[in-house]
Amino acid sequence: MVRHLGGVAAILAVTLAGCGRDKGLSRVQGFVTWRNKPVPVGMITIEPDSERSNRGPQAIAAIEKGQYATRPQFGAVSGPVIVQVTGLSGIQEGESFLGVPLFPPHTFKTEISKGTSILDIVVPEKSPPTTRK
Amino acid sequence: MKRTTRPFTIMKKYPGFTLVELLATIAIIGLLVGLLLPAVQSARESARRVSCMNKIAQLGKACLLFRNAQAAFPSAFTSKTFQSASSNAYLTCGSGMPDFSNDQGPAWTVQVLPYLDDINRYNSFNAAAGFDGAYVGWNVTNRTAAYTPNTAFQCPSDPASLPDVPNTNYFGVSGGGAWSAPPSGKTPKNGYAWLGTSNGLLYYNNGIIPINGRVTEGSILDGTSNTFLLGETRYQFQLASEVAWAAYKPDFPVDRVSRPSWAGGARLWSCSSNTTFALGATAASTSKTGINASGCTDMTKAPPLMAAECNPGLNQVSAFGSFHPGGCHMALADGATKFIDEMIDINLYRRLGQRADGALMETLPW
Repeated sequence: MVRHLGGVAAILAVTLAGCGRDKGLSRVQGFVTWRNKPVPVGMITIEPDSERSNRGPQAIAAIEKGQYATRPQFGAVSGPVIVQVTGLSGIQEGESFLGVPLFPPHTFKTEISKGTSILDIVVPEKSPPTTRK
Repeated sequence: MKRTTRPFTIMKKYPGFTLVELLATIAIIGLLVGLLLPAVQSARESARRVSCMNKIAQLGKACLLFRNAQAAFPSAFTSKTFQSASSNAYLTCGSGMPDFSNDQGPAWTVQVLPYLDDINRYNSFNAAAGFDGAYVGWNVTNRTAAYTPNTAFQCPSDPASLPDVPNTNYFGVSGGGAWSAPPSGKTPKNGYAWLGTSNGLLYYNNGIIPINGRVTEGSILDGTSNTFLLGETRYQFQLASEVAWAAYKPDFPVDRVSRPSWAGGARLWSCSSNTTFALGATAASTSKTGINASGCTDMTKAPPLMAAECNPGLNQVSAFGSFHPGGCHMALADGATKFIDEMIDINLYRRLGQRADGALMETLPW
């Protein structure tokens, strides 16, 4: 009886494993700094770079006190990606509850490996865009 | 002889189950229940999903009936302020930014009411009196009708869909596509934007239901079977109560309390945060993310209490998504309704929101 338990467990494991959908997505986490300080509040989007023939869904993660991590059930696609970082001051101004943007959205291309990867981001200093009419 | 009969006689003497047999039986029953319970739960969610799909299908058909009668699809809402403001290629954030919260016409949700067989509700609105996106006190005439909940717009899977909540789970698709600031002097593609020194607001005009829209079927060059008309959302900003808001901001005049409704259009909060109540768009660059991409599941908290990913400042509020596992419903311009997998390629998803992007779509998700 006992020696069959292993077999039963194996069959169960195989059957139940088939229930989950392997999305092949990676967990991405890291630390975002701007002017040598952590970005108080913000958002990161990671999406596949279609120009380098990568396809898949978009992942987003909220930045809080510099730290961000993609959701466990909704990771980033691996391979060539486009990352975009938005940062806000975190101090309420009028009806902007999370404050005003610190810098223009910072976009760059990179590669994400399968599994868990750490992507620390340093937002470069840029000249603010001129106000246009 | 005796060895074989002895156990038999014992069993006859004490009929019943041994402890091991009992445990084995309980274990098997436990296993069966364990298998059954998730099935029962998912059957309940499945029923809610069917009901939800039926509602968006009805709304899609109402839009088609509207088009048959009026030769164009409904606009997200109309606004003269928006019209004049958006004729500029660039609009600058800051003071003097046009606030179109106060001159809105009825949203598409109100325009299609006669085609939903709900003429009485339609007549309870006064189109001439004007609508607004959010302020309770902005327009007294339409306040009662706007804050009367309408189950035709409530998906039963959304915990916010309560009998006394005037929420909507269905947005018109105003457009989509990546958007970035164009070179100086060039007209932006795909939509209008208010650009600030470091951020801006974006309203798409390349879908079927944009602001001031009235898009004709002839201008859907991609084909009605290849273009989203309506989409399901779980990101309508929905404060739990005016009391919650008042507790947060006691100095805030009560008539400026933000309380969205299924009948509302959009509200310009400020240049870094805007809120739309009737229209969404398929994924731009930073704002308007992909299906279910934002982890926000509770849009009912006052801003200081809400999760960062729910905050209007990060513009989750016009994305599509649902509480159904794995995706959300989208109605197409040909009257079909599809359940779109949240794992859909983001660029394909963006193109499906545009009516005339001209892209060849070799891998439609249906």
